[in-house]
Amino acid sequence: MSASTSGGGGGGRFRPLGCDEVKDLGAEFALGLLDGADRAAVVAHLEGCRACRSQVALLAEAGEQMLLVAPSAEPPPGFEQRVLDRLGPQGVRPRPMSRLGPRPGRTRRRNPGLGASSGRWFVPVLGVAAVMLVVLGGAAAVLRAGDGDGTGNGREVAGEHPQPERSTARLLSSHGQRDVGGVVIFDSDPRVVEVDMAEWMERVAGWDDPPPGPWTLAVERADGSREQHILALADDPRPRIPLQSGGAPVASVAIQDGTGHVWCSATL
Amino acid sequence: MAAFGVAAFGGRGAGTVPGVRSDLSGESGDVAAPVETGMWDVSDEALLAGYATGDAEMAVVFVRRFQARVFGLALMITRDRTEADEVAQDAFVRAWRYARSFDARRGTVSGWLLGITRNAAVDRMRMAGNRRERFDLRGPDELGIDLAVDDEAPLAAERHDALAQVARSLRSLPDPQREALVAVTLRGLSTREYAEAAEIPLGTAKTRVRLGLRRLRDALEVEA
Repeated sequence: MSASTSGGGGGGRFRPLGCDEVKDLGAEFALGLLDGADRAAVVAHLEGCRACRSQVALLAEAGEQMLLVAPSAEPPPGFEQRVLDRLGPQGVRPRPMSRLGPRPGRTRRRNPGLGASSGRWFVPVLGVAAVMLVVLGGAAAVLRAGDGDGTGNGREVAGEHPQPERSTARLLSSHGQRDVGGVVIFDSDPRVVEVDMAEWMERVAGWDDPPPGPWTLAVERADGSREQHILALADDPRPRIPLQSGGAPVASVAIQDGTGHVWCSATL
Repeated sequence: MAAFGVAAFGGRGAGTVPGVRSDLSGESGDVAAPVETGMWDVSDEALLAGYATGDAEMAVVFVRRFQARVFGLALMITRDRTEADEVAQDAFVRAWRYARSFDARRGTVSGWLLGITRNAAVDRMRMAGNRRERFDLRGPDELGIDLAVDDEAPLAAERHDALAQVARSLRSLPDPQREALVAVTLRGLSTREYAEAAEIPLGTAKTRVRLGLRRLRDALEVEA
């Protein structure tokens, strides 16, 4: 079965589903197999139906447990180090695992040349990087004020309250928490939200049943106020959206399709 | 603050902030201590919490504890060791980045991590446009891997009773339903791809998935 739109075209809303229909779709939904209209319709139903939500959660749990029986396989040599290199911004090589002790039940070290450092290797590096970002952000604010492009606010911020010039977050899908893009909040006045969903939009373009438009950027601020902006993601998957002037800092953003279904969001 | 009512995000933020200790499961106090007492014995949840903070030793143990399973699932879906290597790396990076979204009340670390792996593999396969023409549901796997549902199969130490329960529950399903579930989970196929591979109508494939997952859920409840 399939959920259908009542209005036709790209912007129509979905026909509300009953519990029986959601029961039919629940397994596929729980396994992440639904796309487009069906998925949006199920989400809409689940938002208001605790019983179905509970059932789908049980199915999702069973599906997750299925993965436990996947066979193990030895990764290629150097896999561990490649992962650790990707986690560390400068590819810091861990030192031998002198403090870990032997691994129970194992007499052989899989990668004898690899090991852990005795400290938190990427925390200090990232800490230094964070300090540098703050410093650079402050310097950039000073330079911006010096260029004469801004107002006295910029100068005041740079001189008395150095803050990051912008903040970033990853956009996670509402199911499966997949990384589908990023968002940057420029702390100007008005604040500007830059959304990057290019990779995900390429994927959506290949779906048999893509979500109906128009796409909307929903912004929630720290004081609970909200605003929405229409996005033309198909034409520009990296739009920059100026928000309403002033107001509280941005707390979270979400990307919705034409039905109001939230596909992904990010919390700042 | 809830992000527009999307429970999946758990209000824990979209990105892990490096250098900030995790408060997962209230076990953050266990993170530092096990270094001296044998980190291999640290619980998965505590290990994940340490992994999220950037603790080097925790990170090494976390990767070593799960790499064979993550790579195994990635290999099962991609059927290519190079692709599986990339997918498995992506999975560990995603897990590090989103460790704070893990909720121990909703599942296990291994299930969560394998779910991430599956998603990463499916994403990669779809973006690459792989159509899996070579996929044979009933044939032997040329990679030499097979579903570990046989109780006689040797189980690694970390594959404790939970795995045996799932294996028994899975084996209790009718063959078509088990085949369908394996295809859409462990093989990473969509329902449509499974229907094509099994040469059955799409509706039949959907029915098998639906009935199979329900039956599996019931069987797992009985096992529990």
